[in-house]
Amino acid sequence: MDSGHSEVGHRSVPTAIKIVVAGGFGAGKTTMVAAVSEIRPLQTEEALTSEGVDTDDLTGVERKTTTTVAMDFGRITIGSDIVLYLFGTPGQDRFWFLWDELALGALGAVVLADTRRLADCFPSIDYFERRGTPFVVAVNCFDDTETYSEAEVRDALDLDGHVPLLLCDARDRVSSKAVLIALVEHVLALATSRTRS
Amino acid sequence: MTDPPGRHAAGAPRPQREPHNESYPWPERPREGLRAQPWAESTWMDRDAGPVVRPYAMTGGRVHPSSSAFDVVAMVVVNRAALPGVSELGHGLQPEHRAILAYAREPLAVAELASHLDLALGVVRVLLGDLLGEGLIEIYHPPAAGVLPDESVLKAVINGLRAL
Repeated sequence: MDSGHSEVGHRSVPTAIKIVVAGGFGAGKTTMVAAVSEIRPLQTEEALTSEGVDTDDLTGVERKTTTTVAMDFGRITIGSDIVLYLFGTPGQDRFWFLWDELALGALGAVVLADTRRLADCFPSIDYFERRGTPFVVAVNCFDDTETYSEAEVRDALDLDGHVPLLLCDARDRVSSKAVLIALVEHVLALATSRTRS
Repeated sequence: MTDPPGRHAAGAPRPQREPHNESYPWPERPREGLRAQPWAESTWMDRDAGPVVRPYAMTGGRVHPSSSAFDVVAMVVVNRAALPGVSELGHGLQPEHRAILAYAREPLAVAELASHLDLALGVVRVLLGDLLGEGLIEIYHPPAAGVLPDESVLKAVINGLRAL
């Protein structure tokens, strides 16, 4: 029976674009996702099974443990044919492989920095630099923090000159939106320079 | 001295649960009561109880999908042409399979499906592999890694974000 194929063929499926929101624990990842998402942020989990080294050995099975790691994500629909998905990274280094999964095919990343704990975002920056994932750094300005100039933060982060750095308030929709726009503009600039070279 | 990244999040491994007989009908997964605020960044650490059912019980212990990996933003949609045949497949489909088919009447990302179903991503991937094998769903993969979207798409995203 193949009479129903046209209905499937005519359905428009939006292009999904993935953006990763990274940074240290408490830097405001989920806050930023919530600020810009059109839906209340959802949570998806990955169950990690610590498989024994000798996986075929049944004696190890009873010692398998399962840990769940939660990832928050939000969605922004752009017109009828593009959907942005924003994924907050699990905030622990030992879940790097989940980062790999999120970063694979991602358009780019936002690294949120907290000037009170600037070192917390170093691993994120290192990670995206190594992977070659385009990213911007957004300094989340918490109310009680001393303000630093962009140059000071850039210097402290030892950031490549071409990587955009912005000050933001992750709770604020307009401010968080500006960060995303800066990221996509950065990706566009990279894409343009690539086609020209 | 700043704290090393992730130090606060050093979640202890979940208490080990008693192994249970997975052929036994599983109880309902905990819903509202045990599920903490989904947006609180640290909530997953406090869910000491863990799921009542081992996550992969409903895949019969299978941890790898039968076909290639599904990205978290791969779009899933029911293959309506194949749906009339679903009843003939009968008991081959588990309630979770049917739930996926119900949610995916409109295109939906894998991560959204997992979230709505309250199932781990890996579990959903195995179930999607089953459904794809039966020709009941279609998967639309996001642009391949390393391939930037067209400039026109990027510009559309920028304009779309500005207009929000």
